[in-house]
Amino acid sequence: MRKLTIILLAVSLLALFSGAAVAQDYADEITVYNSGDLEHDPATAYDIQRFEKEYGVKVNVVEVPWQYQIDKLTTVFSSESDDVDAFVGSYFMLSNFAMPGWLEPIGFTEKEKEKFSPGVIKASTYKGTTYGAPLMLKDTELYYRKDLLEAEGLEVPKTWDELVNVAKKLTKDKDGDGNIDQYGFAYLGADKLGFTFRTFLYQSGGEMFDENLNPVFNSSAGVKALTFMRDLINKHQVTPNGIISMGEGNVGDLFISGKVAMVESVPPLHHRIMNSDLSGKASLALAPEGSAGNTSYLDGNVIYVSSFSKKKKTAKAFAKFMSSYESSLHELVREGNNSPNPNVFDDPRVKEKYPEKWVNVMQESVRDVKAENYPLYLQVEQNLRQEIQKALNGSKSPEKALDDAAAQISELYSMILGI
Amino acid sequence: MLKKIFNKYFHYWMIFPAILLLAFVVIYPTFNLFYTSLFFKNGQLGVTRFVGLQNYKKLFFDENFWQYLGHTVVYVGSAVTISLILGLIISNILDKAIKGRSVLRTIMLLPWMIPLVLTGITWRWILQDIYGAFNALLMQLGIIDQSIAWLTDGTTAMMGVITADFWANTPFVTIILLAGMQSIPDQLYEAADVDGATGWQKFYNITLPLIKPSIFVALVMRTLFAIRALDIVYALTGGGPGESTEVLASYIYNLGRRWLRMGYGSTVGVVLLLITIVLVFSFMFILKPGSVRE
Repeated sequence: MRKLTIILLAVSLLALFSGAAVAQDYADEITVYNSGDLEHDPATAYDIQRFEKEYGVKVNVVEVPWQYQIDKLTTVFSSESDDVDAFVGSYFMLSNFAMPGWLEPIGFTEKEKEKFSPGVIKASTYKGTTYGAPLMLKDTELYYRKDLLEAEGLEVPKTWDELVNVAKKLTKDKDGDGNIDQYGFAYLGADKLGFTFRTFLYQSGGEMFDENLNPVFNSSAGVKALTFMRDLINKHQVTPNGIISMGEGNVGDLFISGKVAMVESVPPLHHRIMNSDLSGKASLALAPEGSAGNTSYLDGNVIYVSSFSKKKKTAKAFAKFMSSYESSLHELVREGNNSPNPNVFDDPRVKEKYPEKWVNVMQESVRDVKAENYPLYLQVEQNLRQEIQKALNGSKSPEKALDDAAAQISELYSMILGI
Repeated sequence: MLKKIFNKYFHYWMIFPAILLLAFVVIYPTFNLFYTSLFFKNGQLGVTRFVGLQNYKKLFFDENFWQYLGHTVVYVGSAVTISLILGLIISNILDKAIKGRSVLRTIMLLPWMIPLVLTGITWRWILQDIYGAFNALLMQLGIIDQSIAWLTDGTTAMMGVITADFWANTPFVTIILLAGMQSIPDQLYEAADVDGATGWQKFYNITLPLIKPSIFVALVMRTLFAIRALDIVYALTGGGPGESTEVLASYIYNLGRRWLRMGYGSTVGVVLLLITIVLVFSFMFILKPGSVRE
């Protein structure tokens, strides 16, 4: 009996000390900059709480609107401050922060990387090193009014040509006052205009840059993509003229209010649809194919760890935790953000939440996503967006607009980076 | 001895804290702005290199700068002029003993109370082509029969930015001018009445000359606010379509804050500061007290 007590005591002490050793490996608290506020990010908030509970680490979240995140973080990192340990940022921010050496490699093993869609890992990798732990993704999908298509006896469009034909039939002046009451199709404009262009560009077989960072989006594929975007507004007149100034929220509003029958938008919209009057009337399909397939531009969030952090180990543990299967599942089920891990879509909890057809579309869509890494993202995006807007409002031809954007970006890279 | 010196320069000691504060919040930042403009300074690349006046030379050939300067002139000129005219009209109405004046004054202030970013977002909704209230109103009135995408065309987008600006800032001008009007003695108007002056004659010969100092203050303040305005432009158009509503303030913000090209951004900042100083001195010259009709 005495012997047993001694053994039990020894085992208890060992367990206690080994536990303490694990606990001591992590910092007491870390500071994380989140893209947007947590009130509208319930899955992230929930997973942060889970991390805090599981690791005994307090996470201080600083909420920053995504539009200002690059500005704020650049200011923090350029002074080599350790105020931020990790941040939830977009895939497109990678080069901005990795190029000056402000990010810490996330340390994924090959096996860990295999869990994610290849496009996602590629978008999180800069010069061969993976810096981002994928949290969620926003890929372009086609949201359509099932009831309206059925009423007209129309099939869901699978190609660009079909999209135009179906959209024409769904564009209607219902009360005969000369104004269109229902448009056939809309895509994301305003600050997401560059995202939309890239999706159409990839679907035409084009790319933004070559391996030497020369702009190549003004190729024939790029011109085809931009011409398509312009023709939807001006030639086919199936897309509202004002789409240039309408972003993700506005386009979602148009769809939900019945002003547009089909939209190419990003996943949180299916969550909105399910909580609206359109539930049951709307459905989801893969984005229609261009001449080179239906690859979608990859937007969404990843967790990056600061190279100036003094709590890198804890910050990395946080990043990996947030990109785990369970956290991705919560992003999908609680917020409607697509998972970068295609296996998550097989989870029964996902199938319980969304119609099976939607789940299949989402799973197939996330397997074919793409984003290129290039530096000075904000300047590039601004130049590109401005020229796209000029092509769409008819003040320039698509060829001229893209050539001008390419020339401006080349000049920018030459001036700033010496490329 | 020390006490003597202290007493002799007592007034300097009294204003010393204020001078110190001014030096800290005005002189140092201004000097630093000019100093930074002499460098190639890119925060993202971590490169800082003295380039002398090269940034100024580059600015001279920078097409964006000239284009955005043109936009700034149109924006500031239109927004300030319109808000001044409207402010004059509204303050003149509110200065009269009309019924419900105090309620009207409060209502009139509402647009000014709203943060400018919200003003920009609100007007973006108002000007939308599909569900925008402005199109609906014009169609109801029979002025247009087709919705107009105001924010899609460069000219109409600029008109939208100007409209949002004077909508938000006219109350400020009104308050300043109203204060000026209320300081005018009633006897002057009574004397004019005795002489048989019309309403316009009273306004032109009494009100306008006597509120010149208020007009000067309103003009200077409004111009300063408009020249550095960024909120409305960003929230309403984001500088687009194309760069048709991009102004110098947004250019400086992009260069310095978003793209971390601090050296060149400071150069544009110095030039904008000089333009502002020239404008303020011009207003002082035009509206100098001696020009008031006695």
